[in-house]
Order: sequence, then C-alpha cells, then structure tokens
Amino acid sequence: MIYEPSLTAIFVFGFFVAITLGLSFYLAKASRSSHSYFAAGGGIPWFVNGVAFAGDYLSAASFLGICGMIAFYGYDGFLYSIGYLAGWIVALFVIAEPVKRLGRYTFADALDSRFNSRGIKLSAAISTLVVSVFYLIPQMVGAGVLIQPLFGLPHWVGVLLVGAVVMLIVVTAGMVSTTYVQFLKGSLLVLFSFILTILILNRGLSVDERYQEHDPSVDPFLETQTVTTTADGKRLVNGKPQGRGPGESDLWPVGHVSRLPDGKTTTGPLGPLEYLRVFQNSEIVLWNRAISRDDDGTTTTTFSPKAMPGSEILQPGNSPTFRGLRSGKISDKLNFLSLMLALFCGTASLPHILIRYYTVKDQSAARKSTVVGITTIGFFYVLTLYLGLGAMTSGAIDVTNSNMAAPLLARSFGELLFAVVSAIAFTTVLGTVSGLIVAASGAVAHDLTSCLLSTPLTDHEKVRLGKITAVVVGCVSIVLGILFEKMNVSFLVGWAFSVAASANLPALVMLLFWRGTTSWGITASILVGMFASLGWIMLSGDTYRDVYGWNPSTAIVPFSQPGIVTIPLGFAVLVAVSLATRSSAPISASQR
Amino acid sequence: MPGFDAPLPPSSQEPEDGRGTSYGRILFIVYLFFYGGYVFLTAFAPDQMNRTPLGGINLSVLYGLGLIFLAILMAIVYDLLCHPAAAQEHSSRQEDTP
Repeated sequence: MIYEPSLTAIFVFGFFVAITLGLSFYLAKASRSSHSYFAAGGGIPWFVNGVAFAGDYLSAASFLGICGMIAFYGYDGFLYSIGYLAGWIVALFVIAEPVKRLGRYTFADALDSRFNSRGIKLSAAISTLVVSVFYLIPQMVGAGVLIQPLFGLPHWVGVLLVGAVVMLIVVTAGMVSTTYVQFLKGSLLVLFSFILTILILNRGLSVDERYQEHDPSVDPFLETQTVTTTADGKRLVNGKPQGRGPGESDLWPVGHVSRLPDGKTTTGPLGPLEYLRVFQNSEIVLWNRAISRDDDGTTTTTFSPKAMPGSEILQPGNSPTFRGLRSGKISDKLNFLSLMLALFCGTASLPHILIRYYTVKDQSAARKSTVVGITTIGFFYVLTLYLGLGAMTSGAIDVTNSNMAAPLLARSFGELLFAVVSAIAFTTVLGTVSGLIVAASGAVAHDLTSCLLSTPLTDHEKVRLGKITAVVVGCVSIVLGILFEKMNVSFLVGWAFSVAASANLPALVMLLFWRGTTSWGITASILVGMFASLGWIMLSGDTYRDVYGWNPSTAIVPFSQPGIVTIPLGFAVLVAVSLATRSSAPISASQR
Repeated sequence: MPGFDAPLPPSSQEPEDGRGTSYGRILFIVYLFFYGGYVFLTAFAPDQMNRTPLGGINLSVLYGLGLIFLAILMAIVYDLLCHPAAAQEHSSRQEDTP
C-alpha cells in the first residue's frame, strides 16, 4: 500500500524524539561513573524500574508483531502474548532475587560470583552479544516499518533513524537515560493501547457494506489482489504499475466482518467479554497469500479473501507458524512445544532484562519491580487480543504488511491517534533497543575486558569503551535491520528467546539449585546451548524458506524451534561437565 | 538528578530470604502446572479447546486470558507473602547476632 505522509504524525513523532533526547542529555550529568552508566547506580525507584521493565520488554515484537499476527491470523498471535508473560513467572519466582543478590553490573557477575572464572565471563559476554544482536534485528525491522507511513520514506531510513537516536540516548547517559525512556514509553504504550481498546469496544462490530449486498452463491469471494515483482525489479499491483494516478493501481485496505450473529449489520458498543462472544459467532474475511515464481524471474503474490467463522479464528493453528497444530505430525507438535518452552524459559535469560535487576537498591526492590512489571505487561497482553481483533475488523489493514496492523488500526480512529500511536511505537523501539545496547556495552566493557586484559580498565575507560561498543552494536543492528526487512518481528523474537533460554537459563538455574555446579560446567553449558540453538535455527525449515530462499522440506533438522532440544542439552552438558570437573570448589549451602 | 553516582555496593551483601524462596518455588510449580496444561491441550487435544464452557467464549480464549490474570494474581500474592517472611527473617537474624 502507498502511505500518504502525515504532517500531524511527523510533528508528534518529532516531539516524542525531542523529549526522549532532551531527557537523555539532561540525565547525562547524573551518569559519569561506570556504576551509574551501566546500572544507574542502583538508584532507580522500584516502581519506575517495574514500569521500565514493561518498557524494556514490550518491544516491537509485542506491539507490532503480536497485533499484526492476531490481525492476520487470529488467536495464534495471542499464543506469543501468553508465552511472553509466562516467562516472567520464572523471572520472579526463580531468578530475580538471587541475580540481584549475587551480581552488580551484568548477569555474568551472578554466574561468576563464586568462581572468579575467565571462562564464565567470556562465554556469558559472547552469549549476551549474540542474544542482544538477535533481539535487535526485529526491533530495527519494526522501526523501518513505522517510518514508511509516517514520512512516506523507505524502510531503511527508519532503521537508520532509530539506530542514530538510540546511539545518542545510550552514549549520553547509559542506563539512567535508558531507564527513564523505557519508563516513559512503557507508561504511554499501555495507556494508549488501553484507549485504543476502549475505542474498539465502543465501535463494536459492523458488517462491511459490500458484504451486506453480496450474494455468496453467485460470487463466493470479493476480488483478489496481486503484487508482481518483475525480474528487473518493477512492482505491479493488480497488473498495473503501483500508484494512485491514471493507469496505476494500489492495494486497497482490508479487514472486514462479512456476517454478524442473528443477521445484524452492526452491534453498537460492546463489553470486553461480549465483544469476544459476538466475534466468535461472526464471520470475518481473512486473506490467504500464495506466491508463484515464473521462469523469467517474475514473482507474483496473490492475496485472496476467505470468509472464516470467528470460532475458527479464535482457535490456534491458522498462521503458517502454528499450522502444524492442526496436523497429526509429531514434528509439528514438537515445534509448538519447543517454542512455548523457549518463551517460558527465555524471559529470565534475556541479558537486557537481567541487567535491570542491578538498577534498584536491593532484593526487595528487585521483587517489587518485577511484580509491577508483570502487572503492567500482563495488562498490555490482554489488550493485544482486542487490538489484534480490532485491527482485523477495522477495514484499514495493509494485506502485505502484518507489522503495520496496530498503527493502521489507530488510523481508522483518526489521524491524531495514528500519529500518537505511531510515535509511541517508535519510542517502543527506542526503549528496547537502548536496553539491548546497554546490555551489550556492559558485556564488552565489564565482562570481556576483565578476561582479556591483564590490567583492569579504569572507571573512565570502562564508560568510554561502553560508549564505543554502543556505536558499533548500533551500526551492526542497522545493517541487519535492513537485511531482514520482510520478516515478522514476533517470529524473529521467538528465535532470540530460544538462543537466550538455551545458553543462559541452565547455567543460572543450576548455579542456584545444584551444589555440584562448577565453573567449567557453567562455561560449557553456555557455549553448547548457544551454538546448538544457533546451529539448529540455521538448519531449520523456516530459515531455509525465509532467509536462504530454499525448499524448507530439505531442511536438516525436523522442526524449526530449537528449545525443546537445546535447553535440556544445556542442562545435560552442565551436569556432565560439572561431574567431570568436580575438583573445582563446589558451592557451599550458605552461598546458594 | 542525584543518586545515580552512588558508590558501587559489594555483591552478596544481602542474605537470602529463605521463606520467600520456598513460597516462590511452590507458586512456580503451581503456575507451571497450569501453563503446561494449556500447552499440552493446545498441542494434543485441540478439540477440547473448542469447547465453550463459560459465557459463550471458547476454552482457548478463556484459558489464555486466565493464565495472564493468574500470573498477575500470583505475583501480587508472592509479594504479600514475602513481606512478613522478610521481616521475620530479618528480626531472627538480629536476635542471632551476639
């Protein structure tokens, strides 16, 4: 779809970016030592930290990816909401307080608290960098997606812009500015998602006018849409050059109700449960996508409408990711179990989440901030169901781009709301990317240098190295964000969770709960978990299809999500190596 | 903006809250049971998730929303349980100190 640039959106967007940068420059004065730069000096109030958790965690994947997936496929996107939130249970009940008690800057501190091992620091630093970069890709993709309708600029400009702003935020004031940007973003995201949900419920559901007059026995579906990319790169929409002028054609917005219960044409305002009940008994038009490639290199994507019962849409298994749930194949079931396991175990293993425990003063504050985080994040995830279903029936969706569903839903309520929601979504990306870059900076300046350099860095040198790392990681993420433009951001984040859970969780859990854990065991489990999950992903059918452009049925591994194999593998390696290296000092009961 | 340049505190300074940890493990197992049930039903008994046991809304939606609200509820309960546990732990440590 061609998006008209919106002056209101540009103004609101500029205002948000100015506030964010102004806050960072103001806070720069309060962040001179390495402790304040990497951990905000442990001086963040627990409530602020809790909302900042939400700001950190509710990334482009949560807002753009989940809403888009629900809008395109129904319930499947909500599976991510459930899994992402469940992961916080592991964080609260298992990880939060011990990680705070045992560490100071990074989670490598906690892992290494009893050993003083270079191997642990090195492996944890590498794992932090890998997970952070993996997680950064979907955030940058999301940034590019947002810039298109705001400014009418290409995707890569958005990626470049968010990269530049984030580097400024992190370089000026590190974790202090990052925390307050995340607090601001978390608050605004939840508030405006709530406002959007109220508007969706108030609007209710209505049958599209075209379907009111439509006789399905004559023509079961309304028209299909096609996008053709020729070998020389020309883009045709419905057989004509894309545009709005004479002789040109553009995709039209989609997302309609074709039938409501009891023959109604509109419902009027609905309550939250009533909305779901009416939706379940309605019929909605979703769009199938089929891709064909000709010998001359022309690729045609055909989007065809398909009316589906709401009851089926509110069941898992409609999206390509979860279609296997409706098959009898055991590999498809394992793929699903694997993803849900990775989401459950991944949250408490994400470096940018773990470092937030060092920004508060004690274990009690760590626990309280996690409770605030869970409440805020949980509330938001309930809203995602309404945002996604609201987008699905808004008549405003771009059939080629699931990531734009939430902002386009906002546009269906008016230009100002679109501008504000798009700006918040952009700030969402800023907040998460800032946290990831701070985590990567800490891993390099604190963990890597302590095991690679014989002379420890001074406080000032650590901060300077952290800032240089922020710029380097920012540049890498810009390049990757441009390369991965077409992938659904929620899907990419699922991979990041798998790598984090496989590499980090076995080490964290066993350190806390098994006395026989040794430094060699921790090091081996991190490296094996990380490389095994990365290797699995690279050899999976999804990567074959979406990254290499190969036939997914020729993939080496039987299913795409690695967690169900590589998380237990991490535990097994840790136990085996620890037993084999028992001469290393075990952890005493009092130290656990 | 004072407070962020405070001296770096040493790690391992705080004691472990033993009773809070026990509550945490119990609550974790309870949640794991419900989450595991949801995942296994979705994977292996999707027909059960089609049922509409309450308010005309199917089990997939009810169970999913229920898991989110359960997580919020358990987090709040855990924090409430930890308050007296932490206070008691703190006072008993003070009594043990000669």
